[in-house]
Order: sequence, then structure tokens, then C-alpha cells
Amino acid sequence: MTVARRSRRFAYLTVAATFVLLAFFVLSSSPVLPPALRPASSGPLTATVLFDGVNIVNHDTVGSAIVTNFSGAFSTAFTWTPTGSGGLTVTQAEIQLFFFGTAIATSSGQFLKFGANSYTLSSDFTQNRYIYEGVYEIVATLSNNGTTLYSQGFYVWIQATDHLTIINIVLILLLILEVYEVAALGRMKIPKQPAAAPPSTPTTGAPPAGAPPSATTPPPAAPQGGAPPGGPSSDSSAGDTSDTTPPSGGT
Amino acid sequence: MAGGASGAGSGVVFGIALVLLIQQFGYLDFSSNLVNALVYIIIFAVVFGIIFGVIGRALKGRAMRKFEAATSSSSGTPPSVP
Repeated sequence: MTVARRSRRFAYLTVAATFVLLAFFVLSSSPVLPPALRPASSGPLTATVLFDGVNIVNHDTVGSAIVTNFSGAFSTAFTWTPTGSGGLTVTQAEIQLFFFGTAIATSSGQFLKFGANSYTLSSDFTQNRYIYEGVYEIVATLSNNGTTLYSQGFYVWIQATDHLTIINIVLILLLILEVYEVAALGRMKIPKQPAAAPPSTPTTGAPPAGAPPSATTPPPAAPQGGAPPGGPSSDSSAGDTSDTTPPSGGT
Repeated sequence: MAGGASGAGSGVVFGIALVLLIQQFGYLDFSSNLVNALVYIIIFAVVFGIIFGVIGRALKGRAMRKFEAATSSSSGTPPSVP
């Protein structure tokens, strides 16, 4: 198999694997409303959410993402007020981190305190700090037994120390590998040509200086009825080193 | 031909890896809108596939010309005879 064919096959396999991974992401994702359809706030209550002390209201675009990292635990403080006259019971607070429209990290807290109007959710995504970074959407949700009462999305810019994450390293290695693959297309090994035939030596002449004595000394005569001292192999090698017959035509 | 196909394959992978890396560095948002992310990925894959395909084809063609020149010149010269 040639180098070009091998590299082409590898490229096809890599592309196929990438698309399989993307298809897996798409197919395994639960149906999620796009951000435009996600209600900024549901009717039954109004709420204020502080992500690590920062109000999330003004961070609903990528450009205004809250800069953070996963090096430690962080808190999300929910404070809500029912809009109607009837009391509302909030039983769960949750935040979800989205990637490709899929929740890849979730932190939730369930509680049951009648009349309460605040809750602080403590989350810890430190297990992901060496996996990925970038701008992600987080959706903060308050619900009552599965019924969403409040939902608000905001953006965070997760920064890793020195961009040192597993995905970054793999992607950079992949970039280098692909550049090398293309650069290798321009290199083709030229096979070494067999050495040119040596100039023919005259059949009757002095041996060249420095020639081994075996080239000029005839092999010892084999005893009658027995094998030669060196065995058959030495006999054949003696025939190979004979200088009476040039390897290729000469005059 | 083979150089162009190999280069295009490498370019597609390069484009996908590059756009994902840009997202990792925080310049693109792939978190919420899947269609938007796929559009970015496809655009980068196609553009770099074309670029690398052209580069690969040119490099392969140049290497082939060098190879043919080297082989023809070496085989066409008879060995020197004293």
C-alpha cells in the first residue's frame, strides 16, 4: 500500500469518525427549544438570579458573557416573587450548561419550604475544567414538581488556565497532523538506482592494488574423493570472486 | 488526482478541527444553536477542503515531475566505460 493511499484512507476514516461523532451528538440530544423560543421569564413569578454574585439579566448575548472558570465551586442565588395573589411553591432550582443544543452539565437542588422566596444553588463543575472551555449558554430554571415557573438563559465564558484542556490539545495535534499529511504529499522518495556497472578489468593483467589475496589465490585443490576443506559454500564463493569473468560485457 | 483527494480529506478535517478550536477559544458560540454551529463547521470544512485539495494536488504534481525527471535522467545515462 502506497503512502498516498494510506494517508487518503486515514483522512477518509477521520472524516467519517468526525461525522459519526456529530451525528451521535445530534441524535442523542433531547429536543431543546432554541434560545429565541425560550421564555425569558414565565408568568407565575419574577425572579432575580445572581451567578457568582453577577446578575444574569444583562448577560444574555455572547458578547456580554460572564467570564468564569471551573477551578472551584460557584453559587447561583435565586430570589423570586409571585406575580399573582396566590402563593407559589418552588421545589427545584436548576442550571444547565448547553453545548450543541444539548445539556452537557446539570446542577440542581430540590427543596420544599413553603413560603420561601430564595435559594442558593451551589454547583461544582471542576471535573470539567480540563476538558473544555469557551462560550456556553447556561439556563437557570425554577420549577414546581416538573412545571417550569421561571427560565432564563445567559452566557458564560469559561476560561481554562493557559487554554490547557484535553479538547484543545487534541485539536491542535489534529491540526498539526493534517498539515503534515498535506506536506508529505510533496515528498516522494526517489528510489536509489543500482550502482553503475564497474568498469571492466582486463582479463590478463595485474590485480588491483589492495585486492584480497583470495581473489587472486586459487582455492586449494580438493582431495581426491572427498569434499573440499571449505565445503561447498567456499567452492561457490571462490567461483564468485573470480576475476576472469567480468560481471557485464567489457572488451 | 490522488494528491488532490488526499489534500481535500486533510483539509476537511483541518477545517473542522480549526472551527472547534476557535469555539474553544471563545470566539464562536456553539452552545445553544445547533444549526448555526453546523453551518460554521460545514463552511470551514468545505473551504479548507478546497484549499488543501489544491495545495495537495500541486505538491503531488510537483513531486511526480521531480520523480519522473530523476528516474529518466538516471536511466538514460549509460555507464561510463574506460
